[in-house]
Amino acid sequence: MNEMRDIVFFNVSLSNGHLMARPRPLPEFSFIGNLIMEVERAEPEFAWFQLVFKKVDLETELRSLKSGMHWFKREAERVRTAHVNGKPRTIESELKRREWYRKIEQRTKAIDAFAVAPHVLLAINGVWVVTASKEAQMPELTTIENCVDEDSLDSLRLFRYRDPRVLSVLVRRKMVDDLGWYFGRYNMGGRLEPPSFILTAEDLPYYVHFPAGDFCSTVKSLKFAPPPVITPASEGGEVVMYEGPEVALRQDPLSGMVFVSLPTLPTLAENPKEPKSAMLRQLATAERRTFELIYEGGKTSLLLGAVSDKEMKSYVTLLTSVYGGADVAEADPVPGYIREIAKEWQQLPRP
Amino acid sequence: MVSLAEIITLTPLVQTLFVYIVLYRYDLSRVLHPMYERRGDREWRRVLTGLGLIIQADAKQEKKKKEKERREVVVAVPVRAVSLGAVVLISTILIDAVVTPVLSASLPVFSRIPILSVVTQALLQFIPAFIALIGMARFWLGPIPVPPYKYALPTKRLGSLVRHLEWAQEPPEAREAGDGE
Repeated sequence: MNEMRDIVFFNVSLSNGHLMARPRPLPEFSFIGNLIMEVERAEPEFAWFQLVFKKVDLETELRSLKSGMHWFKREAERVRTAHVNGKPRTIESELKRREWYRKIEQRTKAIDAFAVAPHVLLAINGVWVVTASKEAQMPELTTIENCVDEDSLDSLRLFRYRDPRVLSVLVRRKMVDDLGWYFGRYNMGGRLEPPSFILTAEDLPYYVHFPAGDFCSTVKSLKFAPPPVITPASEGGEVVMYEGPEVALRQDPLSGMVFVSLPTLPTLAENPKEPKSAMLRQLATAERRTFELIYEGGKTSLLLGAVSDKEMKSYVTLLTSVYGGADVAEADPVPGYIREIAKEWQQLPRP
Repeated sequence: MVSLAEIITLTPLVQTLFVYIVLYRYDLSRVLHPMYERRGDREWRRVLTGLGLIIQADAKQEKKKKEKERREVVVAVPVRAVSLGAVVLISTILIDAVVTPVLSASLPVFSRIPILSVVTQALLQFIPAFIALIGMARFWLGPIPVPPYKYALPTKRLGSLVRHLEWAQEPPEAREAGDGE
């Protein structure tokens, strides 16, 4: 059935599974704009990027990770004395020559830097579809792969899958929010990268934001318009609480979330500055939220997801307060393209 | 009653378990959280049906289809397991019925020290054990886990999201009550 299409699912995670790494796309507020431009250049038939995030508290886990590393450091620095030809000789541990040891200071410092900060878990999942006849494959996405931790501890990497069960992850907006297994394995062997990675609330705006400034003219697939509410007060840096139009929010039974789409984004000459941009640090709450990009037929649409009407209202209000406003419309939680694929399956005889 | 000695010498079960424990010692839970992808039309249909994107036909017809699908799963899913099992079984039979008797008959040392024949037979069972493990690694377990204190993970590898794909099929409420993995 899918011979006509090349469907690649993906998950973005830490290349080497170093849980304390906080890769950031630079410069600030460029991630979404660059990502959309990269998608536009590649021209897939369909692409869906899903950023699912929630606030978590991982202080205990990070501290225990640090103590595990301290134990290793002590072991590595233990000097053994051996007698060669009757003379005592000190022998350094082989562990000391490992890269694991050489970078231990950097990693413990990285843990100290954010062990008590409010933590945010971010999962980036998606699907990329090209027509098989085009002989085009999903390219490397440099916007993602250039996200490196400031101490170069780790970087982001795109993991590709052909397993259709990832579609369930996407439609149900699932995220792996219990990283206990990954923390447990970090110092013990069998380490793997967790499917979602840890950030601080300060890091989240690097990923979740509207494209602004030059992107308003360079990004072609998004519709930009002057924001619906712009007052001298908002220009002056004060927050204007924008009440979006009445949109009937329906809870999606599969994901248990409500969704809105943003058909038009506000045109902003430059990225929001402090103190407005600082408000974006409050984007994550204890409940899941999503920020999604859907590219189809040369057009990109933005989708927001939250677990309840109330949550959605505060999510939209926060974004519109920062960006001056945005059009909000009802949204189908399942992109039309996915429904089309399902329809084609429906018409096929069962194997 | 089959004794442990017979199991060790006549079957590769203990040897397979031993090789699994040695190779996957850093992640013994791998057998429960496999690192492999399910692909193919059947899986697509299952996922789309699970998401309600493929609308069900009338209930009776659907029941028939489900029954048919269940039969298909019973027949289709173990194909790999059955072929792997067949290869392992054939090699085990060869060891038990051909290799060990031939060795015992041709090498006089075996008749002088009878225990040697038993030990050799038990050691030879490692051959089907490795075959079984290679097959299981290819179709279920995934690559051997990395040892501790290795800074870089292998570049060519399957992402860890596959460990969670079975859980991803559950509805949101089940997740809340689930184990968190």
